[in-house]
Amino acid sequence: MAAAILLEREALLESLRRAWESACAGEGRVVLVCGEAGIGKTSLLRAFARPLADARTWWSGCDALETPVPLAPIQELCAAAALPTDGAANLAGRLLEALKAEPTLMMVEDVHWADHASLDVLKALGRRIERVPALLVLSFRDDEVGPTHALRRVLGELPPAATTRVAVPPLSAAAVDDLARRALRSPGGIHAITRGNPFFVTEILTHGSERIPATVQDVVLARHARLPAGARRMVEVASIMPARAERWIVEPLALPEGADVQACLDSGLLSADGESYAFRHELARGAVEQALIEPVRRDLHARVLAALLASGRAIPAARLAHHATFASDAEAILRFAPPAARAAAARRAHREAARHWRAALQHATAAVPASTRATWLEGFAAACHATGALDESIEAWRELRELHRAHGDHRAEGRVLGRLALVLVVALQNREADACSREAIALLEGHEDADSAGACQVQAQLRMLNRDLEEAIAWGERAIALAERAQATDVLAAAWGTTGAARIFRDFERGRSDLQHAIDLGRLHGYDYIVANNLTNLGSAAGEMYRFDVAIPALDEAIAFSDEHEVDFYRDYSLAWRALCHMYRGEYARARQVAAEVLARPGPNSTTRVMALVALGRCAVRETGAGGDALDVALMLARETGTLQRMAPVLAARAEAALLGGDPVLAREEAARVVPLAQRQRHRWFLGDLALHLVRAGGERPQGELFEPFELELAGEWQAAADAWERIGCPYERARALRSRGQGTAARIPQARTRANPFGLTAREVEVLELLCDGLRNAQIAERLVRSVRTVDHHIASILAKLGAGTRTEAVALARKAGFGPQDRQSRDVE
Amino acid sequence: MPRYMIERTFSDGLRIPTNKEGSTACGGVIANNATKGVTWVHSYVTPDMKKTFCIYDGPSVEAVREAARVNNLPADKITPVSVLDPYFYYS
Repeated sequence: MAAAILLEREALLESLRRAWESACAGEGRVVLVCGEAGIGKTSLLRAFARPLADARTWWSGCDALETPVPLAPIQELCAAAALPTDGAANLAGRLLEALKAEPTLMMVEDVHWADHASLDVLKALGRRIERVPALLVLSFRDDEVGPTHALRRVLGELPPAATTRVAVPPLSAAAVDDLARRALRSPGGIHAITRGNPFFVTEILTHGSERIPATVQDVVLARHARLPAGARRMVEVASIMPARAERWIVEPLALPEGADVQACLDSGLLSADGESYAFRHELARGAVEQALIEPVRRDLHARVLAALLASGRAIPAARLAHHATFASDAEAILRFAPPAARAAAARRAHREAARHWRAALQHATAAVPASTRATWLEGFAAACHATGALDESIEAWRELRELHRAHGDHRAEGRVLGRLALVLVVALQNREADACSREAIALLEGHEDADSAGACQVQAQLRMLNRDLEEAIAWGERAIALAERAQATDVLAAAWGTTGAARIFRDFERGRSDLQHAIDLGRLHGYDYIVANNLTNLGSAAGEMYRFDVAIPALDEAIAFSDEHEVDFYRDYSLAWRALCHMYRGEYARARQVAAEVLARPGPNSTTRVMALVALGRCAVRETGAGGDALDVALMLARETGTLQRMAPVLAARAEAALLGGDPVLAREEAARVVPLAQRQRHRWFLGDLALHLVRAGGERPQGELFEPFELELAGEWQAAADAWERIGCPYERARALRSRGQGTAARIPQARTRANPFGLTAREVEVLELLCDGLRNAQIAERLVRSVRTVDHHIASILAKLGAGTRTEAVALARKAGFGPQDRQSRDVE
Repeated sequence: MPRYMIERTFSDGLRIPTNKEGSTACGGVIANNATKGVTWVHSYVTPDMKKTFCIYDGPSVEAVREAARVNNLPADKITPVSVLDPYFYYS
């Protein structure tokens, strides 16, 4: 690509410069440079960096390996930063520390090829970039990043205010013509063939052969074909080595004659970079590699592999595995894939680990002992779990279980069933998880060790999630005892957390202290997951019990901790619950904002989404009377789990919506669906919410103790109820209590009104009309009904339309004539 | 400074219009060459304008190759040469 001239890129350079200025001023930025292959991303970055030669610049990039070497680009950054590259711990933190010193420009190219572990580090860097004077530029081929691509996770987590997207467009016809003219050619036709792709353009201009090529691959291959034999072989050998093509491999394999090396370099396909050859562009390498016929390619890979092994140098296992795979050399794969998998797992490059394990398992012959296969299967299952490929993980655990069962190894079988149960829970298959967990415990009966402690822990967790509180506490205590004896601190901490999460519903203070114990153990041993989990448990449990004084600080701490320690799942779940708390406090705008933030993140459907949707939906219900799609989707998701924790909030919200929408039959149905479960778990809070709506919709009050404010509302003690809600901090519930003033224990059945209502008004509209008849102004109506003025205006517009009235006065007159009005309200109350 | 001959093939034919446009283009090539320390001495062109033999002075083969790349000019073969003038031998 012409280095001197960069056409039509001035605006893009300007974006980069502005981001750099911000970074120099102390506020770091991320710039995403994206575009198709050959569009000139590298040229753009070089042109941008050239005038900034004095600034501290760190370059790194990713290679097109089938399974990239884990953390390779990050290690390049660390090397540039003169940081030690050993160990995988807290690389992002160390880099950020180094970045504080002076304004730094970091370029990481081709991140669409980045491994899982590197993506995690880049995500952590990007999220905290604003704290350091640094510009992080990530380039990638956006046409290769589909909706499920791993890079999406990173992109979705970058702070929007600090991130700029620079899309590199193709060149215009005028620009292509200009390039042609400068290369002393007539401009015609080139833009049509190349569609403005700069790499294609320069390839056509420099290839110098007779026929006009149709694709960029044609150009490259035409040039390749014109080379002398030795030079051609050099290019072919180099083409199968995506990272680098060392001279000491290429030359002995290609055996070039005298002028061949020169011809190779003259052709422009390869350039010499000290000890290795490199293709000018990855597109060229790809073109040559794909044009190789299969037997030739396999043979080359086999010979490169042999050369790498014979060299006696330290070669990363991933690279050896790459060549072994493409050489279809089963024996070599079995030799190199497992160490490559272990190396990847050690660096937390889980996706790469899974790939290597899968390769090993696919090529495992009968010669591989069952115990080895079992180890590989376990590695594979764990790696899939870590990347969220839950179905594959479950399948692998099941296969492993069969293996152990066939060998009569009950203990191993029990252990595997325990692990399987954990994955099933995450996959929202709670019923299957329960079955597995019970089987595990049965199999591990009598073994008092870490594995059986673990199985008891899983059972406790399942019981707790389903709010079978007494059972959860029993199992939890058993797990604690076993874990203490086996000195399994991770299981111990988890067990304390599960026990506390269950106990808190029966004995708030003791449960809270159990949870705190788990959190402290977690902090002590660095179990970030457990700390985040139990802070979240404390927050959500307290939230369920309307103890916002405890819930809100706990959730805020959970969010901060999870954010800092990259425990995304708990950060999102805590945020969803925080949205619910906002909703209960009447902070609807904030609730909607936080819920929307959670729902906008990429990731599989999960318990988090249910809670965020309930927050969103119930805000809508309380503000406008209808919950909309949010509550429908939430119900669908909640049903998959079948647990009280999800079903109750969704159905209570739906019952509220149905009641306010004037459909008491539906309200009774929705609430009744989950009342038996709530009764069985003796959940006073869920039961109270459900019972209130059930009774107000004309249903029978269910048996069981209810949370006190709900009891008071149902008993007609509106003032005491209102005071109780005020102490808790729930303005909507308080207003609801006040509104029931003067009705005693009378159930308000909106339907009665609608029946006598000839205009087809909804219950809400009837309320507004009545207040209009009372002579209230819009603002007063809004205050009385705890709505926004805008919503009231909307209702009034609808009322006028339905009544066929032109003004409010007309509407009031029509209403009075139809029988609305203050004197009628009392007579329509039903005992 | 060593001298080189570059053979170039232009599939569509070389085109340098004999006007301002042409002289600007040549000027661009010369300027880019200069950044690599390379000088374009002169060229021989076939009648169909599809093949040229260009004489260049430059510090090294790599520099000449780079100059060709920067200018988007094909460089099929680069051969170091020295001038042989028959009249030099005539005494």
